Amino acid sequence: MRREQSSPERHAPGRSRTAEHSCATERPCTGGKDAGVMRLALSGAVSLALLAAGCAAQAEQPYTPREASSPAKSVARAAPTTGPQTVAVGDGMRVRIEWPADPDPLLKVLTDYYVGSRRAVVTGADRYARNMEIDAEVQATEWVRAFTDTDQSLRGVARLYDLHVSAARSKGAQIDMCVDESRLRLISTRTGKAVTSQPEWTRKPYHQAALAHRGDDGVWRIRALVSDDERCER
Amino acid sequence: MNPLVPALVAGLLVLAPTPKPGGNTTIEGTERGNERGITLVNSGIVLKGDVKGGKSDGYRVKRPCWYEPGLDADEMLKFQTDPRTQFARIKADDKSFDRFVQQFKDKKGQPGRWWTPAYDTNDPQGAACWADLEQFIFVPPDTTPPSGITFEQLAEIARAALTVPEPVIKLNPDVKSYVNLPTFVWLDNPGDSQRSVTATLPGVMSATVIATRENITISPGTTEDRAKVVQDGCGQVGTPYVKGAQFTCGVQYLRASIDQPREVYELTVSSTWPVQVAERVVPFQFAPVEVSATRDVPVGEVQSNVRNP
Repeated sequence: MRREQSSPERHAPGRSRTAEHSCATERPCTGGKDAGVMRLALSGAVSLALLAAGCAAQAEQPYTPREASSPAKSVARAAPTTGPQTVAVGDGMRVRIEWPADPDPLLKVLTDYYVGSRRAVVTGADRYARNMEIDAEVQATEWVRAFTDTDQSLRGVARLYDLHVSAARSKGAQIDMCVDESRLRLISTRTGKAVTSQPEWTRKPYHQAALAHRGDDGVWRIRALVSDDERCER
Repeated sequence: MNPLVPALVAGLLVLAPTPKPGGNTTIEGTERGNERGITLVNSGIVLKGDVKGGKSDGYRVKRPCWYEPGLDADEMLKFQTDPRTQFARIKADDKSFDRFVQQFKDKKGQPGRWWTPAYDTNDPQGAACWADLEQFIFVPPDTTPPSGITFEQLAEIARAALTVPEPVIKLNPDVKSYVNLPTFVWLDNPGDSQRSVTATLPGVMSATVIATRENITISPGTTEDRAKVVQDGCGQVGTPYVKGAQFTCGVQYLRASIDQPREVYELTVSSTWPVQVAERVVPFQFAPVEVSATRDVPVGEVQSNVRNP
């Protein structure tokens, strides 16, 4: 596996704001709407919901239910539901998440990162730190800035599929997915048009993984974003 | 100056990355088809010896991640707050950076060392195991924390890195053998009969494992009534055929291979290398390295032409 690099030419996306001082440090989250419900609402393309109610959308639940203050409830709140879900990321970009049957709540750590990092690009943010340990935050932020510093953004639909937790321990996990960005375009925010030479990631699906660590506060944060040449078929 | 420091600082540069486009990596590339048994990430351990030029047997360390001792409190604080090495972190988010370095400020002046996690990326569980550990833990002097590396683990790492030559089978006759004809068996370019690897955590400890080749064993690929194995004289590598030599290592096939799948016998030569840990009064038991190679041996009937005078 290799670390992701920062450039719009690279598919590596990763940003999110460190959650250390967000509501994520406290469980249960204030305003604690059921994340699943929130997600359903979002599927109707209410794009600002995630921004405003980031709390509900993050994977703030510990992986080990017994560690949670109220296990059944917490898992229910964090757990994604089976089947496809479409999340609006901002103007002109959507993410279709194909949840597996009986999805592991940990999968949301990776999908939240994907959606959040793209949202940062689309909204012209200058960083992504949510639920990221410092070096993953640096990775993600550099990736976001590689777009925003060059007046570039994203438009279209991305598809996340083959989501799985390939290894899980009580405080560490590897989370994997395939990303199909063939219907996504790199655009210039100055012209509003797709750039002439589209990067490789628009042509071939790729594998994206995250290594995540559960902090003493029970919050899973991404420690490293990795990608490799593992095959992802459409 | 603590002798640990230079090596560990070098290690920390890897482990506390300041990612640049195409720059430093925390997760090293996995070489596909790599014959190495172990690939260390974020580790200060140095592997020397017979880690190349052969084949690993897939031995895995019992736990694919561990903590290694690093800088003391003040050295670490200096390193983590140096704007030259920490530029990327500061540039990304100075508030996150301030929170991050607080843990090092809190330990300023205290006796002890920072321990950081390393792992084996060849193990599919290695990365998640690493993520299970803390990025930094502060440990009092002369103490090994839970999951801190031990001599036993270091020996396991050396064992996992150990390679031995893959046997290359030579036969005479080479292309095709015949019923009742002695087929001589030996190994081509067998190399030394001892292989060793030393794993060193600089300034802390090191462990050496030594593998010694035992006599080869031949499996003819068929039943006793079809093949007679002679291996009293094989030794570690067999004896190359010379004309008129006594037959002490090989196989005499008693029946043709025409009725076998693919019409050949599959002859296998195995090499066993028991492994010991050097300079240990009470040795721990490692399974020997076992490697083998297989060759197809077509065995034909000897045709005799009977002609009238």
